[in-house]
Amino acid sequence: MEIKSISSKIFRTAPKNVENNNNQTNPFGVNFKGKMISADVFGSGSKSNLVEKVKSKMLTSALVGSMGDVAAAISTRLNSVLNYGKRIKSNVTDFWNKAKSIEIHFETPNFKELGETLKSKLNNPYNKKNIEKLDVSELRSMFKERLEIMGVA
Amino acid sequence: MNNNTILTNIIETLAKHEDSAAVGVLEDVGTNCPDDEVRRLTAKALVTRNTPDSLSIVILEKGKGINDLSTNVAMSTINELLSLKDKSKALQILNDAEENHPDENIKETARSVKALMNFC
Repeated sequence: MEIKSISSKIFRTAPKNVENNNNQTNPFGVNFKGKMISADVFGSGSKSNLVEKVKSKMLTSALVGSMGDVAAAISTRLNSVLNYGKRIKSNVTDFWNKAKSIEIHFETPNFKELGETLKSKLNNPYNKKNIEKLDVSELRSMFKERLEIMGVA
Repeated sequence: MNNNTILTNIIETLAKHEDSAAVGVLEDVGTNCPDDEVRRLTAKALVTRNTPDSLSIVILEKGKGINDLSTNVAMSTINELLSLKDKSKALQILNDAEENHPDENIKETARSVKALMNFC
């Protein structure tokens, strides 16, 4: 045996052409004795239906919970509106009942008396308008007469 | 209509009357009245007329206008003089009284009122 041939037998290298299965990766470099899973969970290819299902379940439960709160809020607001309407109705009813119980009397003025009072005022000789029409001698007489009546002449 | 209102109407009419004879009526009947209120209203009417003859009565005559024995009447007349828009005639008569009047009391009063009018 030649030395060249011995070295080639000792240092046996792997064959060049290795069959690659694209669906499988083995990041840990461990050989499993059992069957390998054909689908790669770490791959970026198809997404898991489980995650999607969990997500949708969470969303649904949140939505249902919020719907319950919204319903309670709407109910409270509707009740307050109803109560407000009832208060207005009772106020209007009370007002109407009170208004019905009030009696209003009108006194017709005595126009004849009013006319006579006005006439007497206008005809009053001591009215300023009438006094201004007098001459000085008449005013002198009136002045003296008034002082005598007042007892200060 | 009560007496005071009638009296006021008569005196105010005399204050504004066009006939200058109204001054004589005010002096004869009004300034000689024993009642203070009547004299006060009369003095006011004479100042309102603002003529030399009406102002002379309230400035130069003893016991009338600014020389009235009632302080109320005198002060009221002085007030009316100070309220005049045109004080020229009043100042002229006051000046004349201060310089020429025989009565010292009237001179003194005229001097005081003139000083007040110049101050206001």
